[in-house]
Amino acid sequence: MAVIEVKNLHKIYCAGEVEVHAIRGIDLKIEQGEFTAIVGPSGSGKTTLLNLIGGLDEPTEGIIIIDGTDITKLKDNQLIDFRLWNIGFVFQAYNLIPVLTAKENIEFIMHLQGKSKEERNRRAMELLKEVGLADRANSRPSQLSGGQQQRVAVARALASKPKFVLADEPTANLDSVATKNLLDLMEKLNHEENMTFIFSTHDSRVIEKAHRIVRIEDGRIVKDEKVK
Amino acid sequence: MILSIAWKNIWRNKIRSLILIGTIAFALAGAIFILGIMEGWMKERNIKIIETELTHIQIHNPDFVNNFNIKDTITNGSQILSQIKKLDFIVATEGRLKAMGMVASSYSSQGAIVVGIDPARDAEATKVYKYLADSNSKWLDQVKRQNVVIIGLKMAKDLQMVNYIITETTLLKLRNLRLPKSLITKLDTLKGKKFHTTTKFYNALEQVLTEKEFDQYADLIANSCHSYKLGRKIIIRMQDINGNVVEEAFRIIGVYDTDNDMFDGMYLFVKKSYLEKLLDVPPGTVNEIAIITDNQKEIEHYKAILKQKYPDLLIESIFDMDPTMRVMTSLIWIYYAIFEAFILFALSFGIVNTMLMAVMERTKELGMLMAIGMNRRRIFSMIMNESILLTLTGGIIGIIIGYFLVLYTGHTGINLSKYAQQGMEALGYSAIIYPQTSPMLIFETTILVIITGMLAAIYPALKALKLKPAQALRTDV
Repeated sequence: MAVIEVKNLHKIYCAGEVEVHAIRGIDLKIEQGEFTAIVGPSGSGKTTLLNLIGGLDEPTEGIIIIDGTDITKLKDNQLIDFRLWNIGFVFQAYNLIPVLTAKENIEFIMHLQGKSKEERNRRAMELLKEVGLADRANSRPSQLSGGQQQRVAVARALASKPKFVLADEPTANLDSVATKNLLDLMEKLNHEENMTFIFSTHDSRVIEKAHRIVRIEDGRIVKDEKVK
Repeated sequence: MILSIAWKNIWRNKIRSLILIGTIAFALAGAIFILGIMEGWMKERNIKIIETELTHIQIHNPDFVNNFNIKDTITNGSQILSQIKKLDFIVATEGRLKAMGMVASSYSSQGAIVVGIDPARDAEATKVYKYLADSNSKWLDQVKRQNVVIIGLKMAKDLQMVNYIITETTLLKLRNLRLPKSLITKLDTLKGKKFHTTTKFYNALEQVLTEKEFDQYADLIANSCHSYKLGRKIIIRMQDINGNVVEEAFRIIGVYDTDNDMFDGMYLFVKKSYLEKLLDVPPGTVNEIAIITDNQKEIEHYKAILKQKYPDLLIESIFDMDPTMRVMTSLIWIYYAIFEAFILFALSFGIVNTMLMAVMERTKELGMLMAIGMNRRRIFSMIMNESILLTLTGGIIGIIIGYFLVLYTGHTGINLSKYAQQGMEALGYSAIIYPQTSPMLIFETTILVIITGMLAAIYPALKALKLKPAQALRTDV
């Protein structure tokens, strides 16, 4: 069964008086354990598609079924809750909570889920170890490099035990070493834990690692191929 | 965790938060201090009124209050008095014999209320002995003579029985009050001269001072250099129970000063047994029973008990006799709340502004928090907590500063005599204020601070709630 199933998806923005048809009828299925890159030039609709799949934005038309639930039918608060329990996010600009330490940032999402202190502590340390930052548990984001922050962001995304992780241009702000480390980490998690990753990118280094590449242009899928 | 994040968020922009905390602290310290002054002022006045004049509850023959006729006594007064003494809520009670009269010195005469009281101080309701103006003054129980009287300083002045002499000590005292040097120099010309009456002294002052100086400082100067001689006689003239005018010379053994000119200029105290003889009333006659109860807050309840017991008598609480007391004791907290609410309302603009900035510059972060699953209720509560913590921090600092300011000045006193002695004493207030504060005031302030923090957070929090995660994440701030 597909984790994500998107049918006839449309998104029209109103930019002033001009209507922008950002997504024009996309159908897409993503299976458990996929390592998918959504690629395309700037303005092609990658981020919009990711936002729609992640329930951060409402489609103008079409349905998005995640693990059997049509999220377009969910009310605002239900959607927030749905995201909390089902979707992990990694953003381009890391977006950690600056006043919390690396460990607290990871714990925070579990706090929202109402997990016990012991569980939060145990899992946060586990994840930090997994992303290779156990020794930086008590560092604030400002004390970490961009690559390290993004690894904490990946750990945070996994902390809630989501069905899949959406990463919007996760390497856009990283140098090549940090990019390689991050990709290795995501690939490892995909491989070892069968975690589904979907990332938007136009970074060739990321595209090379992807197992499936969905190419979008002008809001339409122009190519969808499994490469590994 | 949300609370901890809220607290940490406050310190993301230290200077901005500190400025706001400082503003709140400063304003609230000022509010607590000003209200402390009022509280001290009023409590002192209330205590004086209770101790010297009105007590908690008074009982009269209903007719007495209307025409102040000596015939309208309380029937079986001494019996009622001993019954009342047995009630468990009574702390002190006394029967007074009050008469209107004229009092005259060699220089002047005026109307007065002559109060005959049992001279013993213990367990009596009248505590005027606490306000004797000098250490030579005696109370009625300290002399065996019968025809003795205690008068108020204001009355002594009005009867021209006070001498004035400006000495070096007077000038030093005035210098310490920081009176203008030019004024002291002018007063120096009067040094050593003795003035036997208030009028003469004021005339002399008028000669040397400018009109403005005279208006502002005459009373203060007069109060710093007056003296009176105990042992002098005054004549009291009254009507006895048969309507005959009786006249008797009384020797002044004490002068009291409660800072309330209306009281000090009107009331004189004599031994009740002697007054009974003069007025030709049987021993034990009373026309006023004054009661101090064990709890000021229960006065109305005690009054009701007494009313039931003595339906034919007029029973009045201090609140009936002096309605301002009711306002001051039971409604004063409303005044405080309004005063503080105004200050906090002004502060709330600053808080809204700060919180709005905090929300706006964190748009992206708020978008991220919503994206990862922080629901609106939690976002709202985080911003609310930030605002409350910020306001409360300033509030608590302000309350502590204000409290210590009140504590310190409550100990040292604030002397306003330089500015307004006459005006304040004419209204029954002391010119030296000892600020006080009450747990009620502190509690009220804290609650109002929290409410302000909450109200000020509503607009910024609603603004945050309107954010759409996808748009907020795209914001570059």
